[in-house]
Amino acid sequence: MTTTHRPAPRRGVFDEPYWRYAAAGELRVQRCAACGGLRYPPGPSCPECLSAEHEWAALSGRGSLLAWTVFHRQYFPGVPVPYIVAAVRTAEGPILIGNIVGAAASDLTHEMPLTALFEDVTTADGPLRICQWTHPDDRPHREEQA
Amino acid sequence: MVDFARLSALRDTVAIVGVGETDYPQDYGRARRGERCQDAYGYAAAAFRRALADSGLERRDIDGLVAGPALAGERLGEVLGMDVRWADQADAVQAVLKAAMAIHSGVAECVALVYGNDQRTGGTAYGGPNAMGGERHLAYTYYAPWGLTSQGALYALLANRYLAVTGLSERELGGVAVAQRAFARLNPNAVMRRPLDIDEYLNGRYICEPLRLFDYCLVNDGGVALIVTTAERARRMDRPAVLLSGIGRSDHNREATSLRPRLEYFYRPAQRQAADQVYAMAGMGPSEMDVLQIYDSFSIHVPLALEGFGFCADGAVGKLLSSGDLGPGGPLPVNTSGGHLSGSYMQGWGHQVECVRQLRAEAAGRQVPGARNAQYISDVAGKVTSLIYRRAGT
Ligand SMILES: [Zn+2]
Repeated sequence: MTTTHRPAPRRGVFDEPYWRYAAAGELRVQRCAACGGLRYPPGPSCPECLSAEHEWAALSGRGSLLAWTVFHRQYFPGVPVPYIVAAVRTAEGPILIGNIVGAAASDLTHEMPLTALFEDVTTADGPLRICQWTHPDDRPHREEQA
Repeated sequence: MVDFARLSALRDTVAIVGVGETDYPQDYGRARRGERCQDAYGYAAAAFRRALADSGLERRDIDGLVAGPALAGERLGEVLGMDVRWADQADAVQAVLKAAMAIHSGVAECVALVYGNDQRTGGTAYGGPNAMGGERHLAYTYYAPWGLTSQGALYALLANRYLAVTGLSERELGGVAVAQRAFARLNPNAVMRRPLDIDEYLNGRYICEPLRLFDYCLVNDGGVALIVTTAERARRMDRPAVLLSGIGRSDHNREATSLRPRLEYFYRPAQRQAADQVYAMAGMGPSEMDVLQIYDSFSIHVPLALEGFGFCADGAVGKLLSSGDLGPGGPLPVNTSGGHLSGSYMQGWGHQVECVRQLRAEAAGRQVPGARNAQYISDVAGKVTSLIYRRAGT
């Protein structure tokens, strides 16, 4: 996706580790130290058991396509349309949002397997590495971008 | 567990006795010409004057005031020149609930619910860098680095999944916009009154696929006011009283930002819970509803509500939407003023007024003959609420 200038993420106190790992090319989410539940977006405590203890667990980067939309109205000056936003159900459970790269909307089907890859973009706050999704067949020649 | 005996003590104890709205098409025309001669409080005051006149009450009779979400209660009281003994702030359905509870408890006897919004001339943004609502709905802003913004896009994601799971087609979904436009054409106070057929709908441009221009609500200025009081007092007044018979509510916020309840369940468990309560409290069921008003920032709200509240079997909604049954003359009239899509986007406030007009048989060309019971259903991001109104003496 050709993008000139993306909106910067909203960074609450619990978001910092997520973005630090992403900058290193790692996809990690919080895992409750008490019950093992995964949660995303990051938050202060586990919605299952209310424990605040947690670690940052690496996800496999495998997922499947839950839903997508194609933006035709441009809302952000630096993000040209059309572009695809997808909700991806990761193999471990959490649902993540990302863009689909290397595929057209007409190629998409529900539950199709997807693989995470990292894309370097620019924002008003400087460079940012974000987690994106692509079809596994697409991965070999996309991986070098990560 | 729900204590239905206790809940039912509230049934039919409060009534809506006055309604007022501003002149939506005229104000829309002025806004399109770039004229800005009113603000949110001006619209609110204009609607309040009409509601008060409609009720036949005096301003000094009002002892409670609920301000809509875009208004500050202090300034509203100042503009309306009203000191009250109870005040609050709320969205449409919460305003009715709070007024009912205040009146039932005795902290107020006669409550004005007042809404005003200059979202069109004031340039309210519902997506993008300055999207409103981000402080209340994290998902509105959290995914901005990926270009995801606006409640419309979140409902487009839902629609993408919902169409695939249920087999609902885009053409069938278009039945919602077409039926509501047909009603709007019968309502002189609707903003969009040009004819709309299914071909024009399908030729409409996508905003966020699969939702098109005609699946999105209008953005227009206006005001709405309602006067609520005790059923006893209402019975002594000239107008037919409209009683509040049922209340249903359910807030499902677990995993809201991750969108799981939206995309995996279409909020159905929350709708079922609210439906069970509203029907049990009112002692009525879906088959007894003569008119439906469904909160419709997007067309997709309508099939979700029809399935969730038991107006059709799961999977049967496509036929219902494309049958014409929801439009003028049909057996299940929905959003008879044109709703948010074609009438006026007053964030659910106008839907309450339309319930009252239908039950008073004052809806002129769009009147549903013999309407005795009307239901309002609202589901905004898993916050589901429903009200059942009935005409007193039926
Ligand atoms: Zn836990």
